[in-house]
Amino acid sequence: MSNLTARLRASLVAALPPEQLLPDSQPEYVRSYVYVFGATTLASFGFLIISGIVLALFGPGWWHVSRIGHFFNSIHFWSVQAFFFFMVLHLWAQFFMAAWRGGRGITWLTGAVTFVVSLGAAFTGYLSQQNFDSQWIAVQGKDAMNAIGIGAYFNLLNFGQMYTYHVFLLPVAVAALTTVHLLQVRRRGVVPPIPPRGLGG
Amino acid sequence: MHWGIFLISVPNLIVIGVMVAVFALGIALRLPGHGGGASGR
Repeated sequence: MSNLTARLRASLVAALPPEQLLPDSQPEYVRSYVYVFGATTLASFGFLIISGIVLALFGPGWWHVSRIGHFFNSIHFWSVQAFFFFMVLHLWAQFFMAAWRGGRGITWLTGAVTFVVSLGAAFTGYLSQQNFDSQWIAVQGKDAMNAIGIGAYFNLLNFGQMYTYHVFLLPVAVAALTTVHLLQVRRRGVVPPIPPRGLGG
Repeated sequence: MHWGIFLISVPNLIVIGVMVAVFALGIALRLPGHGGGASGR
């Protein structure tokens, strides 16, 4: 190969040919609602990002006092409920399918890490509400941070720090991890059902 | 609600029950559509 760009292109196309990156058919065993939970998690994440952008544009003074602000605040809140609801169902489904089989370890790992990072994103969201709830959670949570020795790095009473984590650092991390997760799913394919005992696999 | 070492609020218990029900339905129900385009990957 002539240069770095050409080598990079060749390796990317070899790892993810277009028909594998955007497939128009799936194996027969995928035709079950249990395989939909990942997609519904992703859809909830889309709603979270869109409603979050609207909230960030107008700020706490808007989402607490205006009717439209309350509406978008509620969309954001219920989207995160749906996000975790479906993500946990997706986790159960993949766990019972042993979805790390067949070289899918990275797919499982990125999914698990995304779950943990999402917990941080949700927690900083509760701290970013700017109401009595968030003050109570921050005051209680800071003791947990101090107890495990990381209170010097994460000050839950610092609204600016928590808000920045919530609207920038953690969503970007979740989006990046989800992208890697999805590319791994495309690369390795959806995990097949566990074969009956005695048939190997 | 409180049984021994278990302590849970009714709303949380309802949500967990709904999750288990949706999970069971997800396993039991097949998506509508014809045949299946088995790409065999």
